[in-house]
Parts: sequence; C-alpha cells; structure tokens
Amino acid sequence: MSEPITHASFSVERTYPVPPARVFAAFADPDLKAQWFHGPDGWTATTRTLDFREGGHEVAAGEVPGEWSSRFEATYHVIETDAQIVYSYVMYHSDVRLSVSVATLELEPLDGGAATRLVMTEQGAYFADGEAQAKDRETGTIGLLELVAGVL
Amino acid sequence: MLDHAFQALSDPTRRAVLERLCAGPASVSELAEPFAMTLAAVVQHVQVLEAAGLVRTQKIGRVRTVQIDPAGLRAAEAWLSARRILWEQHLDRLGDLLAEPSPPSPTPASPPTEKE
Repeated sequence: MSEPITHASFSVERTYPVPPARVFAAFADPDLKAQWFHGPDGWTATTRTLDFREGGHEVAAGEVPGEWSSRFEATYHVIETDAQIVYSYVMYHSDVRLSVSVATLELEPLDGGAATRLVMTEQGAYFADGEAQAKDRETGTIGLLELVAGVL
Repeated sequence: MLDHAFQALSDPTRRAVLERLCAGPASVSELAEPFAMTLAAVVQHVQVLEAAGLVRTQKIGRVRTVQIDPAGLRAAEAWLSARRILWEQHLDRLGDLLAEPSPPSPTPASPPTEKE
C-alpha cells in the first residue's frame, strides 16, 4: 500500500508598513531571504541556493548537528515583480519526505503603496506516514511543531 | 486517520456541526435544527465525522446522541496547525526585518528590486 496522504490548504496574512517592492525584495534577494527564512535556534545552513526566476530552484538545507537535518527544495513557477510569487516545494526532515506543496504569495499595495498586505496560501499533500517516521527517528521526543519547524 | 479527518473537515456543514458539538453533546435532531437539511442528511454527515474519529455517537432508546472525540480532533489539527505556525513565525521574522529603518544592505551597490 502506498502511504496515506492528507490534502489541505490554509492562508496566512500580514500587513507590513513598507512598499511592496521591499517585501518582494525579501523574497528575491538571497541575502535578505536568508535573514528571515531559516530554521530554529541551533540550526545552521548546510546548503543555501536561490535562483529567483521562473523555472529557477531554491534549496535551503541545514541541520542541528548530531540531532536532525532538514531540506527545503523549491521551484519557482510564477514571478510577477512586487505582486505575485508561486512556487512548489518539497520538505524533508532527516531525509523523510513530509510534504509536497504549492505556495502562493500575493502582495497588495495599501495606503497608496506605503504599506503592503501579504497573503500566503499553501496547498499541499502531507504524508502522514512521513510525519510519523520522522517522529520515530527523533525517538518520539520531538513535538509536531518542532518537527515542522525543523524543516526550515 | 488524519486523511479521513481532513476530508471530514473539508465540508462547511460538518465543520458547523463540530462547532456546535464543542458546546456539548447533542441529539441528531438538535444538530439538524440550524440547517435546512433532512435528518437523513445530518445522519450522513455525522457518520462521516464518526468514521474520521472526530465524534462518537451513542443510541439510548430512540435518541442518538453525538459528542466530540477530542483525541481525533487534536490529531487532525496538530499537523496543519504546526505548518501554519511555521509560516506565522517566518512572516513575523520577515516583519522584523522590514521594520528596520532601511533595507539592510551588505551589498550596497544594488538592492535587487528598488525601482524608484
């Protein structure tokens, strides 16, 4: 039998007091992105590449040495400057595949462009067995949140 | 199990039924009241929820009572909540970065998308 899959979708929204161009830059520029898109305390990057263009790939891999590793692999499909980013990505935790998702980021200017509303929507296939396996590898001591946080 | 739970939760009527049940156990006819639905339709929704491990039912006499199964609900929510919280954390960190007075520029020559 193949592993059971959970399908789900959710959105997260934020309003930032800066123009869309600055928010967009935080996704487009590898140095800026590395400042906010990373794992929890104790996590260090082992591979970090970002080829930010349609068809381009991103890898953000890292580890808490001696404990666990994580790997995020993405492909960018739609990039509209200062407006829209759509990418698909696979998440691994200690080499166990946890999910395959599509992330859509939409930027909307507010206050005549002085502020930005960001809406992130994720639609994914989540592998419940992957989650369980990954938890097993952590000898059952790791919480779900830590597990997912460990991926990034 | 998780798969079933999310499938069960994908329907707005079933989510409404669960919300109602969070206030306490109810009979099938009580559950049917707020909806323009037949008892049979409600029973079907309850069966889906029960198969997913989200609710338990018990028939006493002629009345079937439905109640939340907290363990099932927690399992279903935990996985997605965790993923959502991860995004919340990332976007909060992004907010901190954007709150800095000007784009931090270790490469001052060309901030990538400034166009003005």
